[in-house]
Amino acid sequence: MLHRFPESYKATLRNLEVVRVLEQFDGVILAEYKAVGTGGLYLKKWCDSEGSVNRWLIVRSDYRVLARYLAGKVTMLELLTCIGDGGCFIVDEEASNQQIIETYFTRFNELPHLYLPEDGTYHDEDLRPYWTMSPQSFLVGSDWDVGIFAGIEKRYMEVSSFAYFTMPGAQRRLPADILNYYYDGGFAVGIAYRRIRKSVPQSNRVKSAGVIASSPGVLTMDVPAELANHVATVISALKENIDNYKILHSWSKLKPEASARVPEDAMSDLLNLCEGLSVDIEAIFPQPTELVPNPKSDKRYILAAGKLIAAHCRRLWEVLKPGPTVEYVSIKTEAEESEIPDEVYDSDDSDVD
Amino acid sequence: MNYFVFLVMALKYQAQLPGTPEKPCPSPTKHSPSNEVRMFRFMNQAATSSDFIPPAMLPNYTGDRNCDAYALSFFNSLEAAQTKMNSFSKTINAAKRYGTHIGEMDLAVGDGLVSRPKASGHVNLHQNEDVLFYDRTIVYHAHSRTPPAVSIAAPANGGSDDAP
Repeated sequence: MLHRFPESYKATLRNLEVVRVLEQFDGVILAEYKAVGTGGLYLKKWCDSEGSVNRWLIVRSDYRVLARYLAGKVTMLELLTCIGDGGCFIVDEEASNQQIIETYFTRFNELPHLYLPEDGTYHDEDLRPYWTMSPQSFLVGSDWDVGIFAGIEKRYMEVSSFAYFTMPGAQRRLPADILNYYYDGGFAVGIAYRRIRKSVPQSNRVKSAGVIASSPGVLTMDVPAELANHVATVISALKENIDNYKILHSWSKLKPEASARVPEDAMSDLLNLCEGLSVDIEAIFPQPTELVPNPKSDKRYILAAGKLIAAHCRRLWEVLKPGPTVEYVSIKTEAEESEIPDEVYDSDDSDVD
Repeated sequence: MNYFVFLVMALKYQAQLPGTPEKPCPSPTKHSPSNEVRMFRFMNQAATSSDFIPPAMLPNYTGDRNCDAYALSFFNSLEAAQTKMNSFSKTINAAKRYGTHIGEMDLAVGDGLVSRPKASGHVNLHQNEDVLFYDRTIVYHAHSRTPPAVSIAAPANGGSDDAP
């Protein structure tokens, strides 16, 4: 028998639409909703059932806290109680048509046992349903400006576009003749990345899911799940590939007219860093042609490939550590300021815009 | 795996399964015919047929009616089942929702189609048409921190019953 609350809630609940199921096991346990019109975040948690009627706890929540919850950094209790004055809605709903039968408004401290979770319970990724798009969130401190949001979005889209073409097993290639660009400074690198981004099919592109421009703020991007997982894996390998990057960068910063000075074992350096960053080197070099029968022996191409891989590595660092007041909360890897190589801040990759 | 055998099995909820020729349910690449293996499932003690209904067939189901929703959840070890139940018990009224015990039972050839275990030890079973499970529980394990397991296996040759 469902617990009886003293008084029904007479007013109409705000119209909510489901965004995604966050946790499920033989049915929904926790789901994300947003208010129609205002876009406010609501969470719906299963509490009890009787016959075909489910009882749900509905609370307002905060997108920043949700991002941290999905990253395993705050508990479910914190997620459900982070907003408001200690009050919540209890809704009894007919399962077959989601028709609301009864609504109550009550206080957290008046709820029966386990309507709220015990403290110390974190998000279980094993309970996530399959998401075609994975939300990737960046939390921005109170001193943000619009440029920070734009910069984060641009860099993430750049690394994910590069990864789309170069992830092992994808059997894709970077756009043709990308290595033919004259890579003298950051302008050409920026042009190359713009071309790479535009070459990704629409259905595989990263999409900006929303910006909560409050203070502090949160930027969320919806990323194809496989791509998000791949980028996260690569970012987690950045630290152990610092030396590989430094070795490659020692020659990849040569100007194109100095390509003859690319060391004889440069391909080996390239292969090492590609392997470390899960980049399929075959996706970078063009197919052999009559004019260029062996691109991997041509120092101009090796130098261009080196510049692109080095740029990719620097961008990955920037995604991991976008700034002193920004946190890439959806990744489990932490980066201490002192671990980021100085070369990440080199001007070879100065922004085009 | 014998794909012909896979096709001729009549599944109990065949009519409800959401598969298509392009994307069959259950997927033949992710499921295999059941073998003799010990498995564990959340249930009440003593289990009845209502402890073996796939979630999508329950009157209060509200999730996605995908392929997995028409399968029975099992775990491939007691530890895996206990770990998951311990976690649920801190979040929801798990005993009410999934059952008060973890039942231990043997699957057999012909029970149905079984998915590959997830890292958590969770397994989906699409049961065959004429298979019954509710009277096959060998041991009931209470959720952790409660009294020890009670064996209800029938004694051989009419000997005395096991007592808790």
